[in-house]
Amino acid sequence: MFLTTENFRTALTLYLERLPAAFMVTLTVTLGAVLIGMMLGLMLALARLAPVPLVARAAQIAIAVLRTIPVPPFFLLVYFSIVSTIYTIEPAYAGMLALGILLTPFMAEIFRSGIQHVRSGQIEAGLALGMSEWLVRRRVVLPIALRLMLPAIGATIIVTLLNSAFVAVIGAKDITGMSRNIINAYFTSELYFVVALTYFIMAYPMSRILALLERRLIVHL
Amino acid sequence: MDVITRWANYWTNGGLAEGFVVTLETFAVGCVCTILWGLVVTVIRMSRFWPARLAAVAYIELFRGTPLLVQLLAFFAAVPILIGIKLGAFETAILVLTLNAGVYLAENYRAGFQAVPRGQQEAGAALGMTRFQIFWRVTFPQAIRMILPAIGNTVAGLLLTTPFVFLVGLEDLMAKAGQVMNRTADWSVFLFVTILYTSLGLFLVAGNSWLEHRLKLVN
Repeated sequence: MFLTTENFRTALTLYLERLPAAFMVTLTVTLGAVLIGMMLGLMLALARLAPVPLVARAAQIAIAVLRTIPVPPFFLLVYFSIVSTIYTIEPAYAGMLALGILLTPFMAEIFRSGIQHVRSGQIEAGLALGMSEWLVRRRVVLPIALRLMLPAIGATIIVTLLNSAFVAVIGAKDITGMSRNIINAYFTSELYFVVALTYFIMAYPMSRILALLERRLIVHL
Repeated sequence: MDVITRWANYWTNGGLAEGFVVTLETFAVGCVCTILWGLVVTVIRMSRFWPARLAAVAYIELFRGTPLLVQLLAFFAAVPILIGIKLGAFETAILVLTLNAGVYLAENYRAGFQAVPRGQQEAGAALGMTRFQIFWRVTFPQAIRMILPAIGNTVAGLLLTTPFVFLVGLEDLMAKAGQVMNRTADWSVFLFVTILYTSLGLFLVAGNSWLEHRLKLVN
């Protein structure tokens, strides 16, 4: 019977055995990509808000172009260009870099709207209290902007977690890659349902927690 | 210049042109299916019958919480065994793209419908309209203005997910680029393909904002 064959049980045991190591790969790719995306994104957001029109315009174009690049071709471009011109690179690290770069425009837009949506009254209140401009930025704009941005950043992390599965295509041993090897060896494609469930168990609680945070953090801002 | 000649060669002799046509077909059919399917899901999601609502929510959360890649592989390898029907590569690709993108569109449709003030429907009811009439003549015309930009976004998003479908064995632009890479070991083919996808994306975004601009003028 489907899902109860000896073969499937062997494959499932193997899957559960290898899951912790594979989970670490998935986690590394996801968090690495998010960090890269946030750093580059912050720079792009600051450029976008720069008082120099030329810089702001260039950043705006960069954001618009980067947003339209799909994961698969860009990913293979990054991986193969590094492998054939510089040196061999772990597929997982190439994936981290590619996903990070593709996150940049989304992070930049999140940062920009977070900074821009701090109400001007809050800033004026800080200034009226005699705070210096930098103090207002650090003590008023940043904490409020962070709260405003948190749900969007969280949603981006979930999307990145799901997109990180693509590293399997170039042979990384993340959750998807690891299970693909097992499935090809044991001919148990049913295992894909277990893989899907594994991702769901990671992503769903995160999205619920985010929804909760969104309600508690933003309501009064 | 050398690179351009190589790219032109891949385009005409390497099969990239055929792959591009397949990608465009997949994208176009995927768009139509997604827009219709999203509407179906929304209607079920907002039905008065709770098991139907529950099923719709379960489907939405399930597809939102799993990677597109795993969905494609599952529908390619596992689902045909489960239900005993073997679909072709194109049909599988369309099915998964629609099921995946429909989720996001359904949530946008719902937001659009719910943004129409309750008093509007009540006014319709007070005039003696049937439920269908209220939906078709009151809610829908007002919601569609809010939904259209969301459709534009979903269509642009679909262009980002279409390159994944080579995983179910469809001979699209990505698959052809992979074949060129295997034959020539020239990684620049992926640069070419990335540029092609991005140009298509920018073209869509431009069309989108033009459309939005037009709609505002009509309003």
